[in-house]
Amino acid sequence: MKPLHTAGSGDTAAHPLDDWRIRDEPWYAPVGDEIAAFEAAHARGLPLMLKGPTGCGKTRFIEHMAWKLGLPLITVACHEDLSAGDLIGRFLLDGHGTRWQDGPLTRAVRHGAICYLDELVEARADTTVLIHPLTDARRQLPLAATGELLHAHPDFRLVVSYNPGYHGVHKTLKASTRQRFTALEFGYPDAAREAAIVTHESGVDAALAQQLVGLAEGTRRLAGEELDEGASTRMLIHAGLLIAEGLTPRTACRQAIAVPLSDDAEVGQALAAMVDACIA
Amino acid sequence: MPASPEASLTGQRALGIYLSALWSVQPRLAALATQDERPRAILSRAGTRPVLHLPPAAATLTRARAAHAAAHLVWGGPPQPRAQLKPIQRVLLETLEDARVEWLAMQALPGLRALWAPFHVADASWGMGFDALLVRLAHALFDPRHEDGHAWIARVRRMFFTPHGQLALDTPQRLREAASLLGNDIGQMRLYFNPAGWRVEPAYRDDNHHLWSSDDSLPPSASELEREDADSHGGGEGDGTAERPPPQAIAGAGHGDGGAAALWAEAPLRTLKYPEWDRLIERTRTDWCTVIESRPLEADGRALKARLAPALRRLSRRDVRCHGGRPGSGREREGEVLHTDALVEAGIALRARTRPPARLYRAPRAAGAGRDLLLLIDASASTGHPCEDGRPLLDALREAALLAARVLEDEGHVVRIWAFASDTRHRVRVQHLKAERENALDVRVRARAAGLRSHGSTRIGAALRHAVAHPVGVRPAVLVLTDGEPHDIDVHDARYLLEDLKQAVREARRAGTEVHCLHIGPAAPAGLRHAFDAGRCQARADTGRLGEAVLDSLRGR
Repeated sequence: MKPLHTAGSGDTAAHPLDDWRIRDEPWYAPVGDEIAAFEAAHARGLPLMLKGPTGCGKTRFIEHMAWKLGLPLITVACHEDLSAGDLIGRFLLDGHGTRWQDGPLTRAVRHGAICYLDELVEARADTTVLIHPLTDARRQLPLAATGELLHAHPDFRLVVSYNPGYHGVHKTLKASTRQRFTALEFGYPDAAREAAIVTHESGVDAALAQQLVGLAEGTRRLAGEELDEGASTRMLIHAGLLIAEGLTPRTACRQAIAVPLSDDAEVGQALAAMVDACIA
Repeated sequence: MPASPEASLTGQRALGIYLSALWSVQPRLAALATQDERPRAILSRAGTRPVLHLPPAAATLTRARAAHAAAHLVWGGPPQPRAQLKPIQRVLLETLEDARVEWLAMQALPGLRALWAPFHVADASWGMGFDALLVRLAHALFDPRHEDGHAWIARVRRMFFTPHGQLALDTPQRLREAASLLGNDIGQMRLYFNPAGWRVEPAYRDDNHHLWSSDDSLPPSASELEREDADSHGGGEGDGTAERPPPQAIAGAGHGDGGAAALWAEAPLRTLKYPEWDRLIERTRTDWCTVIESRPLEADGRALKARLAPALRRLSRRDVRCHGGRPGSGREREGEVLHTDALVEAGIALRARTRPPARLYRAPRAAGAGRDLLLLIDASASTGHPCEDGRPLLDALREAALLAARVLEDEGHVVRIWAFASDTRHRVRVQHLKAERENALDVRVRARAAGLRSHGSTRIGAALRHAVAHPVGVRPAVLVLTDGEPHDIDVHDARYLLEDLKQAVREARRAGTEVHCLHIGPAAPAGLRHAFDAGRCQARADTGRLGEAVLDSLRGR
């Protein structure tokens, strides 16, 4: 599909969300029918949840889809202190008194954009419920502070990501939030596809990419036991980029994978030994 | 007996992780105590779980040994009968099998070549005896680029590999046939072999005992494991160092389904050593106590949930009364709720053309929130005794901990719940019932709490050191929930563990961790009270409103 809005397309009036448009196509290798699934949800205005482990390509996918659909993309990294004001906006005080400033969610609702709430589960529960009226047929955002009832722009779409974690140890979404979304499940690609992604993104050759994937698969066996999660595709790309910069493969893997994965000294020793075993 | 109960294996946990992650094998790792000047690892597959006995060695050699043994476990076949194979043919087959599994391992994990290569140094200078030829052959099969120059070695290599560098001897039958043929070669070369003096080379390779099935019609093997009771290595725990005194458990504790044996059969997640204070010598004994973190058993937590609900409602109302249930009155530069007084001051300042205050928002949480709090439950056997309402005391302890955790995490604190019990200094078990990121009422947390069993003794000092060594946030505090004084079955001096607890509390204070104690019983023993800092050991005669008591203890009321 051709992008609907791209830089230099001839529009002269600046759109308030121009800065949130993605100019160049983000490379994305589909692993299944997720593009068609996203487009179907988009066509019907349905909110979408992307589930999957960290660094498996969720954010890259949403960037690719925003580019493909020609929509601005406003991303909010959720955290445990994310307040309602951080999402919908707040009054600011200046020399002339108070003035209202839209938060990222309000901006997306008002002007039409994909609002991507990354790791929604990290946000406080009272913040999460704010999105409820936006996720059903109402498509409204009441702004209590200004007394405004904002009706969502036709181009507004809500996408959230969610990492269920391992063994249910992580926080979970409330059912009342969860059931408002359609969902796509993401995982790490199969070994051949993951090696191809690492090669494309970092420039390392196929043989080395295979070794990196072998190392990642080893670390993923430790997920939920010695590690919270195994090495992500993103970590492998980081290692590949360091190798392209001239580091030896083993040094790069220690820096990009083994050391960041764990602070436990003995797990660190095991990871270093795994690097040595997997990387020629 | 090669495995010494007192010998320790350096880096055992890291090695276990390495084998589990890369090879998906989990042999029990045991230290091999031996007087042999050229010891070799011994791999036993006789029991339900393989056991790898590793002699003391540098880390690299130990890792090379473990990787080689793992290659046998992953790519090796079942044991073979020795019948009709002469010693020369057997040792040839062993050499071929070593090369075969290593070749397969290096195809999957190419970095292994660099791990094993430094041990392959044999060449023509080693001589022409059969022992030397075997070691040279091992080198030639390991490294196809190595040119040895001996015609027989070149012949073996042509048998072993295809012209394209793939494995030609890829089945046990082909290996056996090749070993028979090559043994005949050696016979025609009139070379002598003394099996008794033979040691597998290079040093990282195990003694290959596991390749052969036992055969009573043959003379006994020189291998030590052949005489060993196979069951002695079956399925034990990962800790190859600890003595194994019989665990104690109480009868009629209301949890008879689990049983003491089942408790200690839990797979240890990790094992750590801690010091202990010996009052008689007035010194700390280093690495004296072994704390074993184990995965908690889980049970149906629905009944627990039903009991928690009314208590939680009561506790929440009390908490609102005590704390107002609203954002604090402090001021912040950022926040959700504007601070009325600050706004009035700002308006006045603007009209007066002076600088308005910068902090216009109410602080989001009450001052003092966000502490790292750990509730440490004593799960020793005595907590299985019934309390005033007829239920085991442990029931009251786990409910109180969950209730208090729920309230405290609502206040913004980081709360964990651990349980501990001991069975001599070698086994101080610690279980994590609730991690810092979990909600106190999560299904899994309730299941773990419900699965907790009364068992063993109360070595508080070791458990406390373990808790203090693993803070997860700011201004850490530990609250010990117990029904008694420190006690363990290997200590017969009543003051010994109390003095150690006192020392552990001092160490915690130096580390910046507050330590509190809530004692449930008629009166906290004087020794226990004196072990803690003044005012930090509270006592409750009964289990009524124990959740509130936990909160009060932590809040210093």
